[in-house]
Amino acid sequence: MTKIGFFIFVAAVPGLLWFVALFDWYMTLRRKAPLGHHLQVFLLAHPWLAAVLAVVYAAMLAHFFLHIDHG
Amino acid sequence: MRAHAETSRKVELVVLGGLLLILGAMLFYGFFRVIVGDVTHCGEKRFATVWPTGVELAAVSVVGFVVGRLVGYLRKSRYGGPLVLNRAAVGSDAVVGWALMGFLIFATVLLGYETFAVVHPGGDPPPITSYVRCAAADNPWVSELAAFILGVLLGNWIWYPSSKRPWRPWKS
Repeated sequence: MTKIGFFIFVAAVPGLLWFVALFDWYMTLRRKAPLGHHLQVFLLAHPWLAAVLAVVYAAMLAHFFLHIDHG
Repeated sequence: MRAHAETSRKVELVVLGGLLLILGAMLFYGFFRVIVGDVTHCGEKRFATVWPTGVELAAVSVVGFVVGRLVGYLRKSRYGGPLVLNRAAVGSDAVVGWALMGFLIFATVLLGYETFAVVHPGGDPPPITSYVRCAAADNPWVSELAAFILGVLLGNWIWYPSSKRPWRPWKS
């Protein structure tokens, strides 16, 4: 592992989430439909996509977290 | 909107603002640890090889996902009930569709990299898992907080409370 790789990891996970959450908060502040609302409308209209995302999320949880066992 | 929609909006702002502050603090902490820490000795740290850490991280993520749904009730209250679904509303949201597609392409590339890295032994290139393990080894509490917030945001976005059924989303 390298510092550059770890830098990208930190920027990609909390960094990307931070910007998306900031946009969501800003839209809520301006009394406009936040990103989450648009996403929810889209995903409720396409529930199979939400199901796929949930499955991918669960698979990633198992892969990344449950993999931490014996080094 | 219902009469208490404004209160719901304020609570939602506080919750989202709190998540923003915590995420921002974790971002700075992460960069700080990258600069001052030694990432080459992650595997030697105690927490990296103790099994409860991974299970705790997974459990905290699932709890966060459920909490995200509860936060979604604030949004539901703000909009006066279940979201109104119609094809026109969805059709006008093409930007969200494109953004989702971009995200899925990004995720696919990451999964491709992860698969490639796992198949090749010796840790060259290092799989993303090793970075997750290193972060968990460095500070399990911060990692669990990050996993919780990730779960809250995802639960809030993709597990929205709705009276709709997945097999008949257009019926009211």
